Amino acid sequence: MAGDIAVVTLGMLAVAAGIAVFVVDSMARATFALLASFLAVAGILLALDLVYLAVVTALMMTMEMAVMAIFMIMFMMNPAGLMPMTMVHNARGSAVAGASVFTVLTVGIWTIDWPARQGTQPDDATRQLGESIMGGHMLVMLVIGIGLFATIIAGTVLATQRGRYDRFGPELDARRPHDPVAGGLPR
Amino acid sequence: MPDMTTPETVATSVAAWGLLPAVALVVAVALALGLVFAALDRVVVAGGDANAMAGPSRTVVRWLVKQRRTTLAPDRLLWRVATGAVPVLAVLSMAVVPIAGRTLWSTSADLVWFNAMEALLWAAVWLVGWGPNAVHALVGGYRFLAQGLAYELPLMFALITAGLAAGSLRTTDVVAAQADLWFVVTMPVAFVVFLASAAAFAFWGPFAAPAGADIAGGVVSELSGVERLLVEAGRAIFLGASAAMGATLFLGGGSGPWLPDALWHLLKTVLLMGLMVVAGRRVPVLRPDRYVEAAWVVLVPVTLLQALVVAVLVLSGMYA
Amino acid sequence: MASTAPDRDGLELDALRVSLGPVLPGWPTGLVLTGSLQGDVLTGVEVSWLDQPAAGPSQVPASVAALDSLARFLVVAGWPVAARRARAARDALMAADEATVQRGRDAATPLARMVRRSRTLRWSVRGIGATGDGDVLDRAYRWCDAAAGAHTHTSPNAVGLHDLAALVDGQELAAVRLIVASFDIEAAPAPAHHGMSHA
Repeated sequence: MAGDIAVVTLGMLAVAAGIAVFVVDSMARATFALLASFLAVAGILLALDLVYLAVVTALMMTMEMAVMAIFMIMFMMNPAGLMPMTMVHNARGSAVAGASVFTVLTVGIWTIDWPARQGTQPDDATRQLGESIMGGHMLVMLVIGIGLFATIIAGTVLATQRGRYDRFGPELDARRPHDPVAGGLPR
Repeated sequence: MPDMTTPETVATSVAAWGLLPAVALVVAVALALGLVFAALDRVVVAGGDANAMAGPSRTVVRWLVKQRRTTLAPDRLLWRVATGAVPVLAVLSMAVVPIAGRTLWSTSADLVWFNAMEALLWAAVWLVGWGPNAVHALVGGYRFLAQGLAYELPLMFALITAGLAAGSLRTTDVVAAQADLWFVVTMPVAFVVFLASAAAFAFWGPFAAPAGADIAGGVVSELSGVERLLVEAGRAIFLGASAAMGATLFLGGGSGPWLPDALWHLLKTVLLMGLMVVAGRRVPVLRPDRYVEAAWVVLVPVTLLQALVVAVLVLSGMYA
Repeated sequence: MASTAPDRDGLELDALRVSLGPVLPGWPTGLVLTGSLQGDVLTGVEVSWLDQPAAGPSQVPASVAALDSLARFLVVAGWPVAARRARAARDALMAADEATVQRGRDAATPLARMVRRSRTLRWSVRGIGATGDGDVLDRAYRWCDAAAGAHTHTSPNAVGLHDLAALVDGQELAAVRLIVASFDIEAAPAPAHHGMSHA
């Protein structure tokens, strides 16, 4: 019973915080409203006894929001959101998309005839999860992981304005790179 | 993989002593560890003057009675939330550290919980810098963000290395796995990286650039009164909690002859705190420009290698 | 309020008018530095004294002045333990009785050695604020020599306001602080001819 109440409360909190992302007028508030929404989802997972998934959701989403904050400074210096602005582009379109996906998922969840649980709940859901993801699909997961990582590196390389010729000269023979701010390693 | 039978479940302190006493104990231990760390730190900064040990207590009283000041047009809501979150998260990270052999709550993902509290602390500290709408605080906040980003992965790998050897992410299992050999012997790199990353996440000692004197105190520059107390207490508690976690993960927790387990754990924790303070205060602040590059280019591969070595040892049955 | 301007890395960043000083930790009291901050890069820097401090020969011995400046630099470089030792040695040197003064001299020499030998400090600040006669670290080392008793009559690191402003322009906030802390800034306003002759 307490679990049900927690799931319902946290669910409403997640939706409310999600709506707040569209309402607030500062990037920091929008970012942290989104984080609050994710944390509420993590709380739901916790109430469902999926500890590992809950904690990993909190961990990854927090890091993502913090990285988003880094990108904020790349484009503006706007302490405390003094200049009102919105995080959302095409607010109407995104609101419609969000609402319709929410409706579809909710209707689906309530109308699908879910199978009954067979057997008992495992002692260690984390271990079960690891085995079901990594057991039979190890190769797929590894390929996807390396593919994502390669994409990140390729994206960074394409976006970087300065290349090795800027750093080491046209003949690549400079002993120390020419950087605006020197790093800590002699490379 | 070592044979991972279902662990004989060590009862959590909540199950053993009831919810309120268990929570009160964790909070009390967290506060005490924080105070001890702050006192040790003050003594070392004062050049070994033992009289300085009372310094933190006096500072606490001063901040409690001091009137709060504020800045022009701050984001009050986020600022307040963040200053309150810092100490709460630091105490929450203590929830998975065994006290007298029992954690406040025990899950199959204790180490990830500790890591998640750190990540949340990271976001909260950035917010503490963002909130007051002031240049120095904001620069400090972004320094902390860059610092946390550079140290998050090495710290994660260090935690996971301990979990890998134990075959479990539960802290009590990690302690049990060290019955024969402390993990510090086979994973010294992970041990050092863990302590350094903890200092980096509390922006203390050589990693204090986010609260550096060159930006007038950075993230804490605009805090006053109780809010200053909350954030500084959070930093000290997190450092104390990290020392306790370090003793748990790498120094065998409460294992040791003659003395009771709880006392051994406390001794190791205080020893680690002393080690951190003495080593950390020997050197000046490392400027982020320089060490962030070293963290990415050196620490990440080194911790990965450490994890690889431990993985090979696990396969060879070293920890079985 | 912030408005945008192109920055060093080719991005359109908001520029924020800021002023540093007149009071900051490890900052020459009364100095005011204004400029526009983009990210943490300062441009369009102007430096002035809030109140014109008394010019003329300094009242304190060269070693005391050097320890003062060194302590300020160490505070900004983030080495509180060493900064405390520098201040303690300085206080002892200014004492009336000879025994305390001797103690101050005995404390200044190992401190100077410690600062000179610190590889961490070298790694951390080397290469910042380079002029014709060295970077911030070389200037700190000169204070170390003066503090340890090498006799100098004038400050080894004097600079005029105009040259200082030119040197810190386009630097990051942290570098600006280190550069300012690595000089003894002259009280007199910069003369009309902007030479480096007195730097």
